[in-house]
Amino acid sequence: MNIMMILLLVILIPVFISLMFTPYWTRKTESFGVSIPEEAYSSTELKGLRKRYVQMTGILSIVTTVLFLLFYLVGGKDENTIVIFLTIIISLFMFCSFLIYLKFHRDMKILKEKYQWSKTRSQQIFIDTRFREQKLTYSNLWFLLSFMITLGTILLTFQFYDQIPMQIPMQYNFSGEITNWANKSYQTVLIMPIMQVYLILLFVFINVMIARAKQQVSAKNPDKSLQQNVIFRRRWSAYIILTGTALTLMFTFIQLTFIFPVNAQLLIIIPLVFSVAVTIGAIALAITTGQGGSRLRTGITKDGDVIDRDDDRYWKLGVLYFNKNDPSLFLEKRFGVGWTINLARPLALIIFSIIILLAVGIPLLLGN
Amino acid sequence: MIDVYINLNFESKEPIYTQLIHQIIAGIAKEEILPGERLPSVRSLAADIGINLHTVNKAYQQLKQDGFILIHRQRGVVVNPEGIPKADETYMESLKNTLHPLVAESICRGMEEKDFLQFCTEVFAEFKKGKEKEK
Repeated sequence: MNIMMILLLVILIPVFISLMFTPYWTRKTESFGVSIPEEAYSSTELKGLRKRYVQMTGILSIVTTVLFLLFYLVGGKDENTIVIFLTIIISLFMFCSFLIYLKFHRDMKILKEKYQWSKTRSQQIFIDTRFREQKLTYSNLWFLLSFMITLGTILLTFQFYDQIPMQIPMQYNFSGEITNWANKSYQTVLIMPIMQVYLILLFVFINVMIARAKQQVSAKNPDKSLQQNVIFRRRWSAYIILTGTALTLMFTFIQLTFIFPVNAQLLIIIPLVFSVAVTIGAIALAITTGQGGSRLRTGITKDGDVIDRDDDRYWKLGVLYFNKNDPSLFLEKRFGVGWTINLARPLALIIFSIIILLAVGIPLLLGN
Repeated sequence: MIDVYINLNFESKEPIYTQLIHQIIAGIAKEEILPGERLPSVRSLAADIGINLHTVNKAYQQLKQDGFILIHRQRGVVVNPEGIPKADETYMESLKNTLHPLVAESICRGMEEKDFLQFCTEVFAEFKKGKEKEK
C-alpha cells in the first residue's frame, strides 16, 4: 500500500464519515444549528432533510476522492505539487461542505418559522444545583503516568546522548524520506520531550474543560438528559486520558528511534496504527454516545410539555456562539460532537490563541 | 443522590432573579436542598444558566439578607446550617403586605374567600408532597 492510499484511508474517510453523519450525532433538540422541540427531530420532514444532507455531502466526498485519485494517477510526484494540491483540495472540500451546511441551516430556519415551535410552547431552563458535586471526569492524576514516561524519556536521552547521531530527523515527506534535519544539541534532542509536556498539559486542560463546560439539561426530560450528560463527559474524559497516554508513548518511541536503531517499517506502522485507533475511537464514541449523550438509552422517560430556551440568536450561522451575557467559556457545540467556546469571552479567545501559538512556536523555536 | 432542579422560564414577566430566589426557597421548603448544603458559586450558576453574573449575585444577596444562605469567602455559598430564621413580627408584617394586593385583586375579580383559601391549602399540600417524596 502506498502512502497516498494510506492518507486517503486514515484521514479522508474519517473526515467524510463525521461530515456526513453529524446531523445524527447532535442533540435531538437541535437540527442543523437550529434549536427544535425534541419530538420534531423524528418527524418525516426532518428525517428527509437529514437524508438529503447525507446524499449531498456523500456526493462531495466521492468527488473529492475521485479528484484525489485522478491527481495521483496523472502523477504529481513532486513534493511541492502534492502539498499545494492537497491544500487546495482540502480547502475546497471544507468550503463546499460549509456551503452545504449553510443551505440546510437556512432550510431549517424556514421550517422553524413555518411551524412556530418556539412561540407556542413554554421555553424553560433546568439547572441541577448538585450537578458539579458528582464526578464528571476522571482524575487528572492519571496524567502523572504520562509525565513519568516523559521524565523517563528525558533521562534516557541524556544517558545515551553520545549514541544519538549528529543529525536528527525533523520532517518526513510522503514517501517516508527525511526532508529536514536538525543538528544535535541539548536543545534539539529535547524537542520531543517538550512537545510531550505541552501535549500532556493540553490534555489536562481539555479534561478540566470537559468538567467545567456549561451544564446543558434538556427541559423536556431533565433526569434523562442529566444522566446522559454525565456519561458523555466521563466517556470523553476517559478517551482524552487514554489518547494522551498513548500519544506520550508514541513520542517516546520516536525519541528512542534517534538513540537506538529501529526497523524502518515499524517507524511507519506505529504512528499509523496510533492514528487509526484514535480516529476509530473518536468516531465510535460519537456514534454510541452522541452529542451530550443524546444517543445513550436510559430507563427514564418522562416527557414534559416544555422546550429548551430558544438561544438561536446567540448562535451565529448556527455554529459560532457569541453571548455577552453568558459568563461561560466552554459549552457544547451545536452542530457536531464536542465543545466550543463562547466567542464573546476574551479569556476563551486568549486561551485558544495561546494553545495554537505554542503548538506552532515550540518546534520552530527549538528546531533552529 | 437526587437531582435538585432550578427551573427558570425566560418568557415569564417575572424577572429571572426573583424566579431564582423563589426556586431556591421552594427547594429548601421541600427539603430538597438541606441546611448546610453547598449551592453553586455565583459564576458557576450564572454560566450554567447563561445569564449575567449580576443577576445571580442579586438573587444570592437577597437570599443572604433574608437568612436563607450564607456566603463565605472560602467555603462558597451554603444554605444556612442553623436553619432558616423563624417567622417573626417583621416577616408577618411583610407577608401581610404581600398578600394584600393579591387578595384585593381576587376580590375585584369576584373570587370567593373559600376558593382563595382552597388555593392556599393546595399549595401547602404541594410542598408536603415534595417533602414526602424526598423521604
